[in-house]
Amino acid sequence: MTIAELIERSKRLAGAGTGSPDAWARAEIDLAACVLIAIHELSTEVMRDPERRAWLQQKYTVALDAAGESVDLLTANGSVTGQAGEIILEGIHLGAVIDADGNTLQYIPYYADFLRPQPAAFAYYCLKDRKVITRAMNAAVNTPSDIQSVTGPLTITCSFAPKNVSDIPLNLEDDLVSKLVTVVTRKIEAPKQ
Amino acid sequence: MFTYGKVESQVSNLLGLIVGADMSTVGTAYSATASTSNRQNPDFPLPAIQDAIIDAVTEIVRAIAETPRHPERVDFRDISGALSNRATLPQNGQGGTPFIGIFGRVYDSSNNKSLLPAPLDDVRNFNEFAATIYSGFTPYWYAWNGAAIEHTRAAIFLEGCVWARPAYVAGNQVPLRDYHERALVHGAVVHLALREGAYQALFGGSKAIWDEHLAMIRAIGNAELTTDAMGAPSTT
Repeated sequence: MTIAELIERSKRLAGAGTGSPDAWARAEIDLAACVLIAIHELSTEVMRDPERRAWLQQKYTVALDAAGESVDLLTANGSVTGQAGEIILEGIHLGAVIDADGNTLQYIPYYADFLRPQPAAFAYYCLKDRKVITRAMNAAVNTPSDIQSVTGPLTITCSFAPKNVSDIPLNLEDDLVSKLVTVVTRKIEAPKQ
Repeated sequence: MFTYGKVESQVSNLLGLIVGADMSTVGTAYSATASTSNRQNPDFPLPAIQDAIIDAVTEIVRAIAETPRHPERVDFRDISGALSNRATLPQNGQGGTPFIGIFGRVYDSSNNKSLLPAPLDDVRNFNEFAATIYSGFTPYWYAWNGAAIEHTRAAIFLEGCVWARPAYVAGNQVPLRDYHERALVHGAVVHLALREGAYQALFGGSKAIWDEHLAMIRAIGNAELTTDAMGAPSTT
């Protein structure tokens, strides 16, 4: 589906049955401005639904520096879309982070816990400064300086929000149309005094 | 099609200028190209009659050009050169003749798709954020802005009517469709008869015919031909 098709379908859905004059016939610019919001809301919704999550997941190959930190995740290109800047950060721990040795890294949500001693049977990752930081398995950590990096590059499978309408899968197109109409017709009420 | 000379014959006849004492002579003079030998009345010199005819033709063309849905606009159609966003409105068509009346269709110069009128705010905002917020969206919009046009495409053409006052040549075709002939005769009379008190009755009658004709031209397209109730169901 192209963006023009999305706007046309949304315009017709929003205006269906409203009679003449149809205000939505002149609202193309409003619809166009809300496309990215609708894509992001749909992508977040799909990410949180285990039954549909796979439709908007892709792999990212991310190199590690000497300190075991990845590059900025917003610069990583996805395997399906080839675009950067689409990663939904919270979707990483709903996917998988695997190092070059084939180990699946365990997620530690809090950076302070990442720096503390943890069971050495696992390799770990944490999210910090828009990067993935890693901790190798089988290496005792008593202080932060003891932390060793895993072997890179990492293969990260996670959810993403497409930049382009054409990257929305076919079976999510109807959902995107409905979502766009919902976004533009949503009224935000002023707080009551 | 009809000639300038045929119109002049009718005008001269209404004003009583045809020279001749019998039917045969008058008939021959009527059909002949006007000259001082077959037309006689110093109150209406031949050049003045010719100018009046051209004036009346111009008024009809102007009325057509100012009526947005008139089907005869195509008889005077020309297009502008390719216009980029914020281009100044052109004075002449591609043939070099000045535009008159209102512009008609606005369309993309690369694929002939028509542009739709949109609020100037929408056009400007789209152009401002075309690469970011509206990336991938390709609307076909335009908006008038003073003596310029703003639009969302690379280049567009403006369609309109063009007109340059022609020279009077008796044998040349008048660039109007046949049904205008009668009104044109009376339009020329209106331009001539007022100066003479003896022609008041003629002036009044011709003016009524002339005004009605121009009003009819300008009314084209004002009433929709079909209403919602007359629209056919979509399944038929």
